[in-house]
Amino acid sequence: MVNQKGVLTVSLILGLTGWTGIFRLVRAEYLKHKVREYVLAADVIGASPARRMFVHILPNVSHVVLVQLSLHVVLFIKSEVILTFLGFGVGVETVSWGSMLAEAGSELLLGKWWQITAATAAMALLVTAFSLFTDAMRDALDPRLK
Amino acid sequence: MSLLEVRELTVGFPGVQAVRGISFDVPARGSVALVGESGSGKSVTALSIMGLLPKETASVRGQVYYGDELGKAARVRGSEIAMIFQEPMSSLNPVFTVGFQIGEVLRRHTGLAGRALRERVSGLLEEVGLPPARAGAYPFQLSGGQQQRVMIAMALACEPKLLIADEPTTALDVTVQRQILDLIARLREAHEMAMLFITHDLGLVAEIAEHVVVMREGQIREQGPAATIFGAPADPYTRALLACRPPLERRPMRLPVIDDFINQKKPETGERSRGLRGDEPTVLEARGLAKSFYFREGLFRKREVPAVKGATFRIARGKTLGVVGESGSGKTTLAWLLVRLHQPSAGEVRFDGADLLSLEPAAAMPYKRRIQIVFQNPYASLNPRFTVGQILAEPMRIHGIGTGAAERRSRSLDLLARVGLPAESLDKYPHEFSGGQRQRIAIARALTLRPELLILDEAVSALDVSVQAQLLNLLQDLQDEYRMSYLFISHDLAVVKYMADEVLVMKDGEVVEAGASDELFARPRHPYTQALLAAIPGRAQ
Repeated sequence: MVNQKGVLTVSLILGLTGWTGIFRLVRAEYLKHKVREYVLAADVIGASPARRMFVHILPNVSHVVLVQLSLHVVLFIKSEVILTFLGFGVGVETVSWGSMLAEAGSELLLGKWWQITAATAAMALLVTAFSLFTDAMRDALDPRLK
Repeated sequence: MSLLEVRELTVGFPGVQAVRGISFDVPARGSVALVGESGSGKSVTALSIMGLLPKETASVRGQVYYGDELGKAARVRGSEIAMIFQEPMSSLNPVFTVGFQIGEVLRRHTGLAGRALRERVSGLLEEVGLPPARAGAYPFQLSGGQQQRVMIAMALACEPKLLIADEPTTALDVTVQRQILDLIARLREAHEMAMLFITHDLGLVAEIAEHVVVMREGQIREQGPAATIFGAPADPYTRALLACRPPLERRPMRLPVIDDFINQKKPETGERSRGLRGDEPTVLEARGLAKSFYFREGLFRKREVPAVKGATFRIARGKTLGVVGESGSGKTTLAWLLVRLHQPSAGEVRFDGADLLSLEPAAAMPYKRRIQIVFQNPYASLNPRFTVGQILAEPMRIHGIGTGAAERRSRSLDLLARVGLPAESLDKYPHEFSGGQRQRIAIARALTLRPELLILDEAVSALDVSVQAQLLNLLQDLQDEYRMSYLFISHDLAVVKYMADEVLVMKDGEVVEAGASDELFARPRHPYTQALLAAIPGRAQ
C-alpha cells in the first residue's frame, strides 16, 4: 500500500518526517519554562511532573505550536504540490493542486490559463486563511489579550 | 545661576499622563535628587530632558533650559550632559571591549585617535578605579560594579557639566553601591559637575544630594534643601516615605504606611521585641548543608563551584531566621535546598524528626505541605495562564484540602481577604495586578497549605518601599496569627533587622556569622558583617 502513489502515502511520508522541527522547538521552549519560577512554585506545592508539563507549561508554550502549525500546513501543501508535479505524489487520477499544476503547463500552451490561476488563487486563499486562523487562536488562548 | 531649568514639563503617552507640569532647577555644580516610587515619572523626566523619548508616542510640553538656552539640553547630550543607567550590563554592548566603547565616545565627540585616544581611555579607567589593562575586557568579564564604573568612565569621557544618574546603584550589592557612591561623589568634586540623581531610595539621597525633589504620580509633592526634606518634611507623602522604611535603631510594632499619613492617622506606638527565649521548639534543623554545582571543562574534567558550604542552623517555631548576604552568597541555593528544588551535595535537614532531603519524592509529599516558599519576582512566580482562583485552588486540590470546588473557593476567598485583596480578584489573571498585589497572591497560595515554615526568598525586595511596608506588616500579622516560622532571605539589612529574631550572614556560600538579631546588628564580630553594616546608605554620617 505504501509503495503506491496516493494520498495516504504522501500524508504518511510528510507526517512521519515533518514533526522533527516542531519537536525540537517545543522541547527547547519547555526547557526554558521548566526553570521559571511559576513552574518551580508548582513543584513546591507538590504538582507532579506530568501536571507541570501539561497543565502549567503547555498552555504557556502553545503559541510556538500554533505558529509552527500554520507554517507547516503551508509547507506540507507545498510539498504535496511539488511531489505531485514531479510525479512522486498522488496519481494523475486523483485531483490535487499538484496534479492540476502538473497538467496546467501543457494546457497553458493551449491558451487555457484558468487552471493554473485557479489553483494558485485557491492556494493563496487557504494559506492566508490558515495563518489568520492560528493568529486568532493564539490571541484567544492568551488571557493578556482578553 | 541654574545650569538646568525645567519649567512646567508635561509628558503624556497614549492613555497615560506620566509627568504633569513639574518645574525644578539644577544649579551649576549642585546636586539634585529626584525621588519617587515606580510610576512617579522620575525616569521619564530625565529622558525628556535628554530628548530621548520616542517622538511618535510621547507628547512633551513645557520648557527645558540648559545654560539659559531653550532646547539646548538635547543637543549637548553626550558631550555636556552625560547619563548613566540602572542596568550596566544591558547598557554596554556585549561584543565590543570596554576600552573600545569608551574610546568610541571620545572619537565621536573629541576626534581623538590612535595613541592619544588609548592614553585617554587608560586615564579614564584609572580615574574610575579600574586597572587600565581592563580596557581589553568584554562586558561579561566584569562584575556589575566594574561595569557601572565603565559606564561612569564613558559618561566622564567628554568632561560633562551635568551628570544624570538614573538609579545607578539599584542593581548592585550594598558594599559595591557604597564604592560607586563614593566614586561619584569624588568625581563630582574633581570635575565640578552638576548632578541629577534619580532614585527610589531616600537613604541614598541623604548622602548624595543637596536639593531634593519628591515626585509622586507625575507631580512634585515637595522640593527643598535636603536638610529640610529630611529634618522637617512638610508633605504627608514625604513623611510617609521617610517613615515606612524599617528603621535600624528601633522596631515599631507596625510599619507606618502611606495611607496612615494621608489620612493623618496617629502612628501606633510600642516596640516589638525580637529574639529567642531559648525554650522554643525547633521546627527545622540543618546540619552541614552543602551544595556544589559542576561545570564541564574540556572533555573530561569538571569544575566544582560550591554554592553553599556546610550551613548549620535551626529555625524555632513561630520565629524568624533572617539570612543576609550579597548576590552569589548562596542564600537562594540554601532556600531551594530546603524545598527540594536542588539536591544537596552533603548534609541533612531534620524536619519533625525526618531527614527531609533523603526522602523519596512520594514520601516527601506530606512535607511539601508544611514548608512553602515565596519567590522574589512576583511577575514570574504566578502562571500567567491561570486565574487567581485556579492558582489558589491547585495546591488544595493536590493535597486534598477541602471537599469540593465550592469549599476550596470559599477558602480561597477567605485567604484573599486575609492578604487584603478584593473577592473579585478570584476570576482575574495575574497580569491584571501590580507587583505588590501579585506578591500577596503568592503569599496566599503558600498559605492555602497552612505551612509551618514559610521561606521568603527576597519576597519584598522588588517592591516599592511603601508596598514593602504593607507586606512586611501583613507577614508579621500572619506570623502572629498562625505561629508560622519564617526563613527570611534578603540583601536588605534594615528589612532583615526588622523582621528577624535570629540572623545568618552568608558570604561566598559560607555562614560567616550567626546570632540574635539585636546582638548581631549592635555588635557585629565578623569583618564582613561590619562592612555590610557600614555600607547601609544613610548611615555614614
